[in-house]
Amino acid sequence: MRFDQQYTVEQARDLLWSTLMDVHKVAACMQGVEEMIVVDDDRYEGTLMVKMGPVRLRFSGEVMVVTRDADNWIGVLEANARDPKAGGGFKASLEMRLVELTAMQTELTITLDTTFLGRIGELGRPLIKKKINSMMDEFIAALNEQYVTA
Amino acid sequence: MTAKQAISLRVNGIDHAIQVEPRRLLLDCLRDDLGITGPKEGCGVGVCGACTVMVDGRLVSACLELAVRCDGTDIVTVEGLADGETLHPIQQAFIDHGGFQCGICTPGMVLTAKALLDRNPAPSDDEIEAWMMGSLCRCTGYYKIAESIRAAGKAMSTGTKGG
Amino acid sequence: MRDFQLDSPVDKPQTLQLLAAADDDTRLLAGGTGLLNLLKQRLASPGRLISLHRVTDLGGITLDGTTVTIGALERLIDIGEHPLIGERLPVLRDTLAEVASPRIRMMATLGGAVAHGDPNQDTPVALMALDAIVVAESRDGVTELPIAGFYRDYYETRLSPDQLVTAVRIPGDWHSSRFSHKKFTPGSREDYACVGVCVRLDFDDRNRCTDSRIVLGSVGPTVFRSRAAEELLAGKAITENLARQAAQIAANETDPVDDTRGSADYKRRMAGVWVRRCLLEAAGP
Repeated sequence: MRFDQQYTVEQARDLLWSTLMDVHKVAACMQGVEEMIVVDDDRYEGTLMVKMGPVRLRFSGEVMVVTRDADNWIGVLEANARDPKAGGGFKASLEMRLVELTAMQTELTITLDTTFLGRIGELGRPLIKKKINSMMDEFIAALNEQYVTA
Repeated sequence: MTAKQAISLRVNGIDHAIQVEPRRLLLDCLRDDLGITGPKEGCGVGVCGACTVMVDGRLVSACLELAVRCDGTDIVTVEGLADGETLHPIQQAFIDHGGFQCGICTPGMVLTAKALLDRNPAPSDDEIEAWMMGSLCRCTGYYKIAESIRAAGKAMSTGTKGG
Repeated sequence: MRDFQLDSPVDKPQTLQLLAAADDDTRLLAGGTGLLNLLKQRLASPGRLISLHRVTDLGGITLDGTTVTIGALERLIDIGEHPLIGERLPVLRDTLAEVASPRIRMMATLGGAVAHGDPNQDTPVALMALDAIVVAESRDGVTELPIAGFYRDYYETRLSPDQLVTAVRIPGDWHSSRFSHKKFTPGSREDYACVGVCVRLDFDDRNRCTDSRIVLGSVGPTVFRSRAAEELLAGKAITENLARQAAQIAANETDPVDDTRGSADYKRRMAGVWVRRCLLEAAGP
């Protein structure tokens, strides 16, 4: 399952880069995630809640920074999470590319590739897809807000 | 652990008093608690029809029903169709016309066919297909099943036992 | 499935009482064909179920003037076979005849079909084309909710946790309206649709469209009306070209997911195909 989206972030590219490559700062922008624990500079653990109608899914896992290509402004995160009750989970690879638009504006291209694992059946997948999409939107909104208030 | 509830199920005319958890599926209760293995688990999601039973005259996917909700009801499984040693005309027709191979779908097929013929003794081919579409078979290709149902309908109308 | 407590009220007042005291971990169980699948797949694990199998005062299919009222616990098979429905609401009869299988229709209830909120269900598609009204009750009183705005997301409706769907009302005399619907199932017959469409057109005596409903199911998080496509048709005759344009608008409003019934792209395109065909069929001679 792929998610491709371009966003405009109201911040200079180098500052946005340092935010995105800092797991502490990224964790602060992830509102859809509970119990975020920073393990080290490249890793954090957390729980993602998906709640729709009677459905409750809790994915516990970790997110790792696997690529920091400062020369080309490309960063890659990988996430791995499971819901032990539902008996399945997902693996995701999130690539971020930063392109300078103006001195204070950066175009952020996010490419998210998600693979479902285990027993997350047909009924669960659309809900997870929806949740990931809205999380991405919330993440960008939180990033922009962070810069506006800073 | 949720406390078990005492329920009473009349299955094929025989009353059973048992204790089950609320989450106990009717299918598992029939098969594992009462030893009635006619209804079978196929898909587990109510699509294939292998677990079909009748509850108070209604067709039900036993894999999608809770045993506690059937307390006090009259349940019919395929085992309840024969009259002593005499098979029901539908069962006889399935034998005479090759309406089964491995037999896994057959209990559900026969009960579903009974529900059809009880309300419509002479269904057209389209009506048979529309009614039986919730019962899947991996072996026969369905032609012999439809033929068996047509023959059963005729037998039931004329009061003969099948063939 | 996780353990749960099961309550079995015998009538509406008892049900509303239980709902008023219920918390976030409680769900209503009617026919079971929707909710129990979620429980078996462990997507939902409520600690308490209020089962409606003993409730006897939520049935009935009645006509009052031109309004048909159907009790929430009527089984889909009985609704579809009722003479009132065949006579006054044939599009609902025909839609119900294609829901799942006869056996599932013997289990499933109208209340469940409306309140479950799965966009793959067929019944809400026809109900939305008929401007149906969901009658919801709690201990505090009765609320009527038009079905058009009733769905918010997958499995989410405008019902508050203490509300019970008690009936669906369908006012109006639809004899002069033209309906066309399609449950497109390229896979196999007992499956959910790849796309579900229901179209209603009303015309003046010069064959211009005075009102329309274009409803789509299975191609987004909810069943929905494409109001932008409906607006395009207003006041015009339905030509091949206009139908094509409206269908494209409707297809652009879909948000389908890849699954065994097709890729998201395929479903979007099929939505366009079937909206166009349904519009032309409804507009035809």
